[in-house]
Amino acid sequence: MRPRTRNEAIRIFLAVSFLQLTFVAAAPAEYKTPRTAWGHPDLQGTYSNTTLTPFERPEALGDKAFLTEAEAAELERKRAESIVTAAEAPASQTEAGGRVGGYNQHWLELGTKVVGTRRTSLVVDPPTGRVPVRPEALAQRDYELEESFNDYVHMSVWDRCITRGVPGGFFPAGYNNNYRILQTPDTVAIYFEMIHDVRLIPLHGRPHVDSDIVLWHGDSRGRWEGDTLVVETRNFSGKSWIATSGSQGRVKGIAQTRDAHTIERFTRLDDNTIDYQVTVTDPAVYTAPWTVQTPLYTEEGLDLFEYACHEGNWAVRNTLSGARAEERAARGQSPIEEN
Amino acid sequence: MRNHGRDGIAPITVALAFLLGAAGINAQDFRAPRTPDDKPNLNGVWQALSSAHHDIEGHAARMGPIVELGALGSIPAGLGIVEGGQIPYQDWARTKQQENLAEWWKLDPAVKCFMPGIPRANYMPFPFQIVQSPDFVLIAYEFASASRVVYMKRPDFESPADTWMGHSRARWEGETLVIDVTSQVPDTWLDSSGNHHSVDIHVEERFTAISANHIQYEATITDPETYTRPWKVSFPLYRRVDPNMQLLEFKCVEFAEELMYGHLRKGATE
Repeated sequence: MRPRTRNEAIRIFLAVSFLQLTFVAAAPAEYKTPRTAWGHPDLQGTYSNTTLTPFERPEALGDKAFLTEAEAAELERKRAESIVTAAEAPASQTEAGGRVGGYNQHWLELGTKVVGTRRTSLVVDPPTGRVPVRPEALAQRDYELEESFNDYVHMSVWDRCITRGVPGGFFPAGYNNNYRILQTPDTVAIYFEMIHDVRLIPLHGRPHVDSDIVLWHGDSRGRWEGDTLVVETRNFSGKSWIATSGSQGRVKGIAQTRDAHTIERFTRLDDNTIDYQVTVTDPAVYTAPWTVQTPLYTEEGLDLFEYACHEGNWAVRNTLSGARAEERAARGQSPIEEN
Repeated sequence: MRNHGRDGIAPITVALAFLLGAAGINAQDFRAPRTPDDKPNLNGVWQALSSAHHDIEGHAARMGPIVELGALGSIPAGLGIVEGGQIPYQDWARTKQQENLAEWWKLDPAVKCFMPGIPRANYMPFPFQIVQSPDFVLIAYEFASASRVVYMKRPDFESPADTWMGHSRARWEGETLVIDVTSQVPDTWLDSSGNHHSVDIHVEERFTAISANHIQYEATITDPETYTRPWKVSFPLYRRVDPNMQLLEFKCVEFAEELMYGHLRKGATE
């Protein structure tokens, strides 16, 4: 059912909220979550969520929800091999009119391991492992992607260097999947390496800001439920995309409306791993809420550096000027000189 | 050459000291509340209150560059935050600043929503939040979502590359958080009046709580390429005490895109 009003959308949301499942990852029962000096579960550290597991379950896998150990090992072996092959390939020269290529292996952070649960997708609910996108939202996505050569407002908000959004910033992409969590008694802060984004999640329990104050990251409120940090976010701008990276496949470019709502759960599984889950509700875009689960894990020597995206952004300029040059060429005109 | 009216500074400083004294604020004696690891607690949302983002040197009010904006687009006067009044530029560097100033709205990188660098981020007219932990201090600025992670326990860790917000390593000196900022790109400005630096800039920042709701901020700027000697800026940071205070967003890329890319939209030049 498609809600026709905001109130109706909220009613539907409240109805489905009770059905939300929590996908408890396998935390060893004996693990005792460390505490901060003031008694909160301690989530602090530097994490990555780079993974070999795809965002949605590949259609070819049908209803297969988990890989066997052997299948997982085979995937990991193939990825390791392809990384070596790419690294050993001779350098190639870019030619005018040919492919200009992209980031090299040094830049990319390709996952070498599947997630610990061996699930076949990061989407864990619905059980299909696929996001229940309404056909209208897919059509809108197609329009946005097609128009992206005509106007920056239709380009990916990541390509525009604005943000990867919430929760999009936690969906692994080809690089910069690195996060740093800091805590104080009243705030959990998450620094995202991608576009130096910071989320400041207050724990004070005050109501959300006025509904007219919409934000690219929405307005987050955090609370502790046992050892789990639960973060509820609303007041989204309506200008963002739920996913901005090709790593999210067909979900890239799907709109995030002002009625979107997310609940994130952060639970420490062991000294090196946090289980991250997010349930997304956006009734005009999806037929049901859906949930993503991805581990955040520490690695020896992992550190974050400034990613000054906008300051060095030639993607928007070159994409648009290239498209304009093609149009002029089609009309028999010469390109406009850019400086 | 500009006349910077330095004569006004000293009496004002004396008056300010008197007022602070009268209000019972004695900066020397204040002991900040402690974090659980017994460091001065600077957590919170802070903001500078001055027109230093227009011009860090003392300046009279002047008309803004956009005629349509009239009074609201004009630049308020400011006492300046540079100790001694004037930046000790080398001659060529003062000339360059004057050239920058003449067309500042075309040249100031902040107009394009580029990250402001240090120290400028601290006196932009936007709030910022300090989040302290024993290993790192995160400073999140509302302007441009600029941010920096300050290393508290890695004094020997050099930055692998130059950055817009610099590489920050810090230590506590009694009540003061001392941050050493290195590896900044030369592209940032110090304000909208063309005050500039080179890639050699080194900034030592000092954050000292002087009351429950004030931090005295001081930065010593060293850049022999550009200046004849190290020099200082100092100003207070005010805690945003609004009961519902929280950082919002000024993700200004979207406000600079039409300026930067508008001519490349389909149909824009036909």
